[in-house]
Amino acid sequence: MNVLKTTWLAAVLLAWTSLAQAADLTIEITRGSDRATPIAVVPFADGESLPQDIARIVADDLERSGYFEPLAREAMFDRPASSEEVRFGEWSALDVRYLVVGRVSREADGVRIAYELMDVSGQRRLLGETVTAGGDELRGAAHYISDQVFEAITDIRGAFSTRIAYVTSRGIGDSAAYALHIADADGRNSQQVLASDQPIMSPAWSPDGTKLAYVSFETERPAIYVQELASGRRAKVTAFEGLNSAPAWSPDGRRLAMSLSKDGQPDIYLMTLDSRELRRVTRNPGIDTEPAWAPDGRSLLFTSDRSGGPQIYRHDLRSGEEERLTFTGSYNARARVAPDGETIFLIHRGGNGFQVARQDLANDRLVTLTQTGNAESPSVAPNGTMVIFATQQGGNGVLGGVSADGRASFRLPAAQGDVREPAWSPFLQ
Amino acid sequence: MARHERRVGYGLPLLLAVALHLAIVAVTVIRFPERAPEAPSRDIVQATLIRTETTTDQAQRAQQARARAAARQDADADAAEQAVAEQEAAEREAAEQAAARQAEEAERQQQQAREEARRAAEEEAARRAEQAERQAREREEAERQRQAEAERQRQAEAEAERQRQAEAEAERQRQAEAEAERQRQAEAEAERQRQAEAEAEAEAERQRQAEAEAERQRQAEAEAERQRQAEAEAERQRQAEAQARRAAEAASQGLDRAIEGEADSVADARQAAEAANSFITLVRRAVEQAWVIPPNVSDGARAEVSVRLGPSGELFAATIEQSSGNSAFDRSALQAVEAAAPFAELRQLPASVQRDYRQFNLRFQPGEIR
Repeated sequence: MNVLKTTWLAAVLLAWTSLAQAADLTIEITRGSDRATPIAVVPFADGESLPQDIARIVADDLERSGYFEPLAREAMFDRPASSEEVRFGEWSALDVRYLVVGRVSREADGVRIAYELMDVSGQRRLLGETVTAGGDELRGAAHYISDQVFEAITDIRGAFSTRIAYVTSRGIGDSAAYALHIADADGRNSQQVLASDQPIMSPAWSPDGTKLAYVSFETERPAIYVQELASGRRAKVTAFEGLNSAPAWSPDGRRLAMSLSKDGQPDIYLMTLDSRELRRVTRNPGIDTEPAWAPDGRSLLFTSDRSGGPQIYRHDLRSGEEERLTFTGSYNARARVAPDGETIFLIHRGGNGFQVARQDLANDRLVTLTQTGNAESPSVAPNGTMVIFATQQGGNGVLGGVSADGRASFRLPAAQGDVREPAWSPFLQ
Repeated sequence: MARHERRVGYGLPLLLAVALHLAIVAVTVIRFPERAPEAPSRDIVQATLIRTETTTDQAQRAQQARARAAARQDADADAAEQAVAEQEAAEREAAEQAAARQAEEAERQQQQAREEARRAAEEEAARRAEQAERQAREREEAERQRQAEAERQRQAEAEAERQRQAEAEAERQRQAEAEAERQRQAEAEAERQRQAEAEAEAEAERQRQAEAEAERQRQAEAEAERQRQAEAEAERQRQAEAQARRAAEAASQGLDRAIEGEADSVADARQAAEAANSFITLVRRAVEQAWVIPPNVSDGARAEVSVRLGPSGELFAATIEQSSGNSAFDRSALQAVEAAAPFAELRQLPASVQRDYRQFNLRFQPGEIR
């Protein structure tokens, strides 16, 4: 009996020693949830009297980015106005990771907005700031807060204070009316900058965000114009015979890449804006169009049908070498380069029609981001996290957006008429 | 190779000379007697001519002898007939006595003449033989002289050839020597180079050895360090084991007290292991569900979070053990742990092992990000 007891003791001892090593246990976490980050943006205290609901604008901004999932206001038990009033356990129970609270007060010089951002699970205050805004700057102030919150959480600069340009059209034939608009990145606060009874196309932001280049048919022949947004002054840059299309500003803002057919088929040209000096970039019997600058300004991407169907090519401006970049499918066009220069967004025709797709230049892997079909004219946000594009809804052109990783998509509020050719502005001062 | 060819060229004349000498010996020793009988038949005319000049006083006899010899030589019968005819004429002209004497005399004369003729013929033959011999000797001599001359010439030629060869040989030797000299120099040069290389090699070797030595030393040090660490580790393990043993003993004592039989305690241990595995799985699942990976995370991002739990699985502390370098990523990991807590499953573990699972690490590393 005694021997048996010793044996059992040894067995138990072995089990114990093996379990004792569990102290050095490391568990591998290789997968995450598919959901966006839950956040609660509590309505700002005393904000009811303001014409704009700051907290709503912030929540919508964050939601539109695709990375946040704002908590519905009805689910909030409590409406704290500052970090002192926050009972973290309450928000933690709602599985909210971040919490934005704020208070609004009217001052002589405008509206003062004090807001704070908290990490609920860590029970930490990440951000606290007071913003003063004029009565007509409340949306801008809200977008500013969105930018700060976004950057504090993701380490990526927010692009909610940027703007978009787009073209609208109404009517057909002789009664057709075209207009060039700019609006906040959320589609609100739109302004008309040009109206014409002839088509307007391809708006392009100057790198400093003060000018737009576009193509107008107002002289019954397409011509490229550059228009100063603040003053409305504009200048005709090119009106060569044939097509004058797709202007694109160089990163330093001194040159304009464009597609001209004055020498035959459309080819890519560069114009130095100060001297109006023109330099031909591509020489090809096929159609070369839709130039887009690499962020370093050393190369141009463009669409060419030289291989049969439209594909994206890259032209090195120093060596003159040209290289085909897209090989997935028979239709890839209208490329735009992400700010990091490592990713391009383009229109790809797949099984479900024309979609916005992303291609990583490092591995040439093409990923389709949208499912709607009929996507056209993608334009990437200056922080690279979102892409805006034109699509069709109920026979009308509307603007859609998708996050760069394809996780979130959104629609911009419908403007009147057919909306097309969105162009996302650079970061604005 | 050239030398060998020349040797072959030398051998042929030598062979010819030996053959010639042998031929000469053969001629002098063997062919002379053979020639002797041949000579008279050819030299008969000469011999006759010499005799006419030198033997005028014996004209008659010679004539007779000649006739007789000719007759004898031609046919003995003719000579006999002539003699018989002369005898018959003498008999007819002279008296019986005279005739007898005359006949006797004739007979004597005939005999004498025959004798004479025979002697002359013999002398003649001897003379001819002698002459033939002389001539043969002369020819032989001439031949010898010719041969000697030829031999001399051959020798001269051979000598010349030898000289040429000697010269060629000398030339060859000179060239060979020059060549040898060149070779010697080349070899000397090569030797020098070899030595230089050997020196360099030796130097390299010395360096290598020095390095190897240094490497050995380093390795030895590293080894020593490893050993120290291993010992320290072993010590730690020993202590851990001792601790575990103590704990186990204490626990087993407790268990002993707590449970009724040994079989139950083993079942408990197995249960504990199973519960531990399921606890790990539950923690992983809960954290993965709670982890919201932030946007634009680089592929290699990795963060390690150290987790401490309270006795009932509540989160005591979650701290970044190893940062990813991306604050958003680090925070997402912490938040995942905080959101997944409390880990109440800890209480399902056997009370004895719960302590061991109240501290662990979580390594956050997304496998595939879109």
